Amino acid sequence: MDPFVLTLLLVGAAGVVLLLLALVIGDFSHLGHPDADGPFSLPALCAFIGGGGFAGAIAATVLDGIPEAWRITGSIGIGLVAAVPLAWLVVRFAGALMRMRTDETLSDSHLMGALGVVISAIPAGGLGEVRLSVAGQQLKYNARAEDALAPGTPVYVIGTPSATSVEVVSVAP
Amino acid sequence: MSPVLIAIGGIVVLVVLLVLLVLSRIKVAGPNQAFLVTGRRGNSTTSATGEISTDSSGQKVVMGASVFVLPIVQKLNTIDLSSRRIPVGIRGAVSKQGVKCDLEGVAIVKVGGSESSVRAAAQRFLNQQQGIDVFTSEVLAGALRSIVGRLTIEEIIRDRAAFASAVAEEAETSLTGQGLVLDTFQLQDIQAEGTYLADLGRPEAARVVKEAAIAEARARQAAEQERLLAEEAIAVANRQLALKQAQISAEIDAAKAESDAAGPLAKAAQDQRVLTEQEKVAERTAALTERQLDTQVRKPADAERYRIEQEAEGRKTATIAQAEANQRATIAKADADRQATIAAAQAAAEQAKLTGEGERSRRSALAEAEAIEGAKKGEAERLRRQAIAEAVESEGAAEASAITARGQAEAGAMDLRAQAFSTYGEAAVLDLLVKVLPEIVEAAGKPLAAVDKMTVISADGAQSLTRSVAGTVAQGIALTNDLTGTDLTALLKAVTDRATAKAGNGTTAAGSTAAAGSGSGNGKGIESVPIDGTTR
Repeated sequence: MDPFVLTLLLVGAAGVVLLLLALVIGDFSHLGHPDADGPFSLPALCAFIGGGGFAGAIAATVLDGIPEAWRITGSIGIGLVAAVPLAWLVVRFAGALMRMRTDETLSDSHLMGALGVVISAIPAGGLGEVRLSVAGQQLKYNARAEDALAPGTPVYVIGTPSATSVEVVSVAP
Repeated sequence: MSPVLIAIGGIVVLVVLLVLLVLSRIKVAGPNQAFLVTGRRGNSTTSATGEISTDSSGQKVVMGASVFVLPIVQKLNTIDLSSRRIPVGIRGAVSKQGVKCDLEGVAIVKVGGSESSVRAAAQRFLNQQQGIDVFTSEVLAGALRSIVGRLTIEEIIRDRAAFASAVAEEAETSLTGQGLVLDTFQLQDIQAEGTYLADLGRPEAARVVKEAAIAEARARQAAEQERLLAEEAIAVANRQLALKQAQISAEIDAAKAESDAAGPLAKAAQDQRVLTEQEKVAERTAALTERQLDTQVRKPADAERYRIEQEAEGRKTATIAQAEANQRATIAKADADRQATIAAAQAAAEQAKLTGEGERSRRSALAEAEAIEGAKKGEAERLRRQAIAEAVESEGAAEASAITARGQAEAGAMDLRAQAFSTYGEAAVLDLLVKVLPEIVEAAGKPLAAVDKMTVISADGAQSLTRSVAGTVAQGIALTNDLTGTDLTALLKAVTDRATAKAGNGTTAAGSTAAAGSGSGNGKGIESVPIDGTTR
């Protein structure tokens, strides 16, 4: 086998080995902005090295027969040209996953306007218990109200004084 | 192998590994986990004063979802949202009333499910999550002590809403700030100082005991009543059964007796039939015997009796005639004696009258007194006798009229008979006489018939007897003459004469009659003295 081709194949194999190491023992290098998987992240580097090596090897084999200098230059050039888009695709793929939509985490603001029902009587000026239906889940909160409310009264949340208590008003007709 | 193929294979492997590496950076939170991703930069805002500040949005909180974590530059922290069971116990807590009590409860606590709670909890417990239990237990013990101080023991025990409200208030102040949520708090045990709790329940316990005792007593009463009723019913049923059994056994005995008696009864019926037949035979035999006796004994006896009767009648008639003759002679003699006596008495009376003249004057006074007394007595006697005389008179009148009637009847009969005789003529009269004659003779013989044994002492021998009978007959004829007014002798003579003139057969008839009359004497063994059968 042509030593030049072999060298290019080894460069490609080095990229694969790097990827395998990253998968087995975890990432060990990250270069770039912490909010994005940048062009110098491990996957991008591996893609660039591996892609360039294997593409160069193919080009060197195809260009067999032309003068040696031209052949080497042409092969490396083709390899680089092929490696850049691959690395770019990997960066784009990681970026897309990083910005993917997930379930919104419940926060106090979500409770505003929620409907529920009193499960422990709310005394005037004291705390009772209400069950609220928020984003499809039933949650129990401590509740205050201006007037005393009997259990079973439907209520409407008008405020969230704390993370575990709400202020309600009766919506009973 | 061609280097081209190797290179193509290498590219494929490279692409696959790249995809795997990128995907491995995605982390997924479980339902009981909260991810807190740090290392990112928060949003920066510029205030109106130009001051730039960054919020905490760089710390991303993810619950139950996936998140892309960049290695090295970002850090993923995990908070456990699971509930924690935390036992809480306090000793010597003082209630609102001042009663000391010990309480044991259990609290269920977890990290809050909202973003702010997770952030607060992460700040406090991220690296000491096992410490949550101890920490919370101590906080809750203090809270519970505060709760007990605000409530009475009765409220703690009974007023769930009040207790929950107090617990919520304590939780708001002590737990919420640490990102913890008190899901529930339950009292497990409460012990009051002394016998406070026991005393609380005593009235109710006493009431329950009372009601139980009452209910038990009533139940026992009802049960006893039912039992007695059941026993009564059983007794009634037993009586019924015994009666039925007795009845049945009586019926059986009766049937047995009947069946036992059937044999003897049949035998008796058979015997009865035999006896009936035997009775018939006996009757027939008796009838036969009777008939035999009739012919052999009774008829001859009747004949003999008749003969004896006839003889006795004859003897009786004769005796009567003799007695009458004697009576007449006696009467005649007595008459003569009386005449003589009267004459003698008249003579004596004449003499007495002469001698008793003096005496008479003396006695006349006495007699007069007695007369007055006697007159009264006599008056009474007279009245009585008069009544008797009247009675006798009426009796006599009745008798006289009866006799008159009888006499008239007899006279009528006589007339009729005389007429009949005149009508019948002589022959008829003769026929009658012939019929009467034997009776006359029989009557003449009757006295003799009554004689059992007779010895005739006479110079004429036994002929005097015949003479006596003939005399009797003659007397009878004379009597007949007196009674009937018919001269029987003359009549007989005329008949005899006529018969002699004709044929002389009348004697035979009379002789046979006489023979019959003397023959009757033979029945009584008269000492045999031959009698000459002479007749007229």
